[in-house]
Amino acid sequence: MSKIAVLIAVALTAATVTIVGCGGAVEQPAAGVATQPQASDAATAAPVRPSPLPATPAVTIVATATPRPTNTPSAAQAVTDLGGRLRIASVPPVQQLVGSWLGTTTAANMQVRPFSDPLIHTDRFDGSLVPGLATSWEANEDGTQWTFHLRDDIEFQHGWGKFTAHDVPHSTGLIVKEDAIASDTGIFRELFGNTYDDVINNVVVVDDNTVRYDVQVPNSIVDFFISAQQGNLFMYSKAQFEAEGLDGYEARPAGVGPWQFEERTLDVNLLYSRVPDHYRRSPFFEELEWVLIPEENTRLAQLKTGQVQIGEISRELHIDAVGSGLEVVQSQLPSLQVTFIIGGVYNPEAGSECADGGERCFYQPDEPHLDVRVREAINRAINRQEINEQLFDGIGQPHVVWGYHPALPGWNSRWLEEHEEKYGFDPERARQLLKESGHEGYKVKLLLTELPGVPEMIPMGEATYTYLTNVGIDVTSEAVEWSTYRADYYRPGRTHGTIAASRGTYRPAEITVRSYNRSGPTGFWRTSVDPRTDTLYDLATRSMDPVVKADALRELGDLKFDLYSEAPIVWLPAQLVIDPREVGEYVWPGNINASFTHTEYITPAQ
Amino acid sequence: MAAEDRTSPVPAAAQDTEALQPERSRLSLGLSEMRRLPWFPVVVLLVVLVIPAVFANQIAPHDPTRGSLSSRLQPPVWQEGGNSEHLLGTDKVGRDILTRIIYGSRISVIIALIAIVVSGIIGTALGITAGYWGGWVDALIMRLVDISLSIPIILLGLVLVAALGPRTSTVIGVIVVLLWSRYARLARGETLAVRVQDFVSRAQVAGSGHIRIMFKHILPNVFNSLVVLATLQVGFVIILESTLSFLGAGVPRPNPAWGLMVADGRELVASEKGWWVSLLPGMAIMLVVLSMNLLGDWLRDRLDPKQRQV
Repeated sequence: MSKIAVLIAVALTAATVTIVGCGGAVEQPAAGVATQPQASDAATAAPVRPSPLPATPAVTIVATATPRPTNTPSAAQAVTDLGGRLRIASVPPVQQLVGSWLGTTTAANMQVRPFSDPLIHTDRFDGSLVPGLATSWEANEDGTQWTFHLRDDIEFQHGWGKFTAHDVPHSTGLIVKEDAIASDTGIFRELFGNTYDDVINNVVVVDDNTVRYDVQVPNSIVDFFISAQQGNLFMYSKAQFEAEGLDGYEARPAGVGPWQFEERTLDVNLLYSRVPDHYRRSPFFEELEWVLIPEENTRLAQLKTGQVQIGEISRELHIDAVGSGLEVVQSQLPSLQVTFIIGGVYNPEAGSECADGGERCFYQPDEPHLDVRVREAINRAINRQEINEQLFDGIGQPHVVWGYHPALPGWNSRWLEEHEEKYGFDPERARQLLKESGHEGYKVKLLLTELPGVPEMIPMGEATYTYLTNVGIDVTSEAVEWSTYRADYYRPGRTHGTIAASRGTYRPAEITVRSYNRSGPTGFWRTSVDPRTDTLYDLATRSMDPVVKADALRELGDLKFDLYSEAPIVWLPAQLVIDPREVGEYVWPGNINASFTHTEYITPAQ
Repeated sequence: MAAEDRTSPVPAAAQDTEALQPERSRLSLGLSEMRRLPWFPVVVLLVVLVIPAVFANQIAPHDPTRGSLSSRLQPPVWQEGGNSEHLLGTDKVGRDILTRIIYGSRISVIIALIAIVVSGIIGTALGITAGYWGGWVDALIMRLVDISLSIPIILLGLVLVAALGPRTSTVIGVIVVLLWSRYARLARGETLAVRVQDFVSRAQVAGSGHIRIMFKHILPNVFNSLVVLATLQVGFVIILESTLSFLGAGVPRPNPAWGLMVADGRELVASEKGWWVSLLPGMAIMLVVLSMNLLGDWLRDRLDPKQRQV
């Protein structure tokens, strides 16, 4: 073979390997150079103090938060000139949409939050619920009626008129529509009605500035569900809907947020412009653009070259980012909780039939995970400290009971005190427990799933493969899409013999308990280590007495902790990389289902 | 016939001629061919693919699926911070890269061998049948071949793996579905040329059955071309399997497939913190594929001069 032929073969092979290595990814369109900050009227740019009207709960105390004014921005006080276009590089969401009812909370938050507001907002420093479109709210004694008093000075964008109480039932009804797939669709149907018309009946317009939610099932955290923290219920214009239908929302949705929707190009970007006189905070940049870039290195490259000012970059690349003069900033509060769900632990008293007529679903008495010693062994086998230090760079906070955080109602300080003793890394003890239980060497399928916000999920799963194997468990692993996991495993009650990593957000404990531990159709995973789970959950959810509620949650947490319900790993803050030459301050709570919130408070570098 | 003797070392129809050649000249011919072996690809294949695949259990220094997080992302021995315990460094989970490359070669070899043998058998049988029978049988099989060749390979692979689940057997099945048509087309073409030869006519006159003629007289005469094709396909199959694994539709975790290893470190490929995680298995893929292609070219020159490149 001639030399030329050899050289051609080498080149072709190298190109082939490159193609394999690049996964055939389509190159992202080059983003333009960031617009330079432009001068603007100082009066508009000056910080605006939030509404002076504190909420005044009249009848009951809301356990999740105390309504109060939003904190005044700090660095924002010094801003005199507006920035130009703020470009944020992000992972493209699964659905690209402008309707929060059509997507998961994460997708909705990122795309909808800039141009629309919820009734109740979230403080950017401490994550508490604060007045938004509603200046105050109250509930009756049994939590079946929630009344919200609305601002009367809000106009919809694009000239769609004044925001009134009539827009509230309409916006709420969207969440329960047949095509709605928002995270909260289930709970909204349970609380407010199964159809759009039901909701229109149950969300009563008292007057133009007052709206009352008549709740079908007593619930003590209705304000949380309709707040910015949960993030599914944003206000849309009823007038626009009646004139243009959902097509109008798709093309040019009118909201009441600090940014105004301008345009989007699927898979490329979403563009918003500044609302100059917003009631909460007018942005410090003229425009906001989400630049959708799937590849990690491309996002980092755009940050390094100044094509974007903020980027969602995985922790593994932070060292490269910092080396290039960029800065890593993190949220004020924990953003995500990470755990392993121990499958097959169903409530024997709940008993559900297999949806497809099969035989092995829900409670199966021969399931090894029903033995608390096996669940303890799993917890003992996992080295949480090593995971936190090696995979999460040590930024994680201890996580002792899935769904519970020291700052949330229902916390028990005993858990943290006893954590090392009961959950500490101890492979020998794990082996002994497995032996005592008679399940030494039992078979487990470790389900590996990638989830937004935690790129370390797969490595963490593979590390756990090693941990579990080391104590003698016969582990096989399978990478599954989350949708497959949902459809094939936890929805039909077939999580037997599985361990799956999952991640949740920072929210009241009962929300997590509802999804992961409650039996019956309201639950998803239905992990129930004790039959009292459902009773305690119902008590915690329905009681308007904060003491009763906290006690019920604490007792539920005790059961989860003492009986090793899950294998919680870590609480994590959200992290972003910013270009300090362009961005001054970015303070956001992180306790919301999205990395990027409170963008209106981001200041340009001075 | 004389021309056929030169192209095929062991054609069935030339057994009489071959029997007359002295044993010594056959040995000398073999040694002569050995001297012409392209040593670079042979050595690379032995070192990177064959020996690791066969002796993985004996030569791999660590467990391929288990690692220690405390050892994660250790650089190769020649880089600052590296150590001799992990000559090629470790991945994100602390698994030894060298060990995973060694075991990964076994996966590549197993998948390539099984896929090529199975698709070769199916494709050859159908190709010879089409070429020998002609008519509607030929038309039917060739249309199936056309359909198979028109399907986007990666897309079909992803769909099948998504439907059947990411298992090694699924990957092999996908590759077989994709490859058989190439053998069928080649076997058919060769059969069309061979079936009009005198020895086939003589066999028919002598009363041989169709099956016997196809597989006793025609198959040996198309075999060399198929061997060349198979050799060239090894590199392609490794690339295909790596691509599927890279896309998460191939060999399941935590098995050390090369494509999966490339995928594991793709975001670190430009980082000082972990460039080796992707690059080293990528180099293994490149070396093996390059070597297989060079060896295939050499084999084609030796066994199938009709297709020799200019």
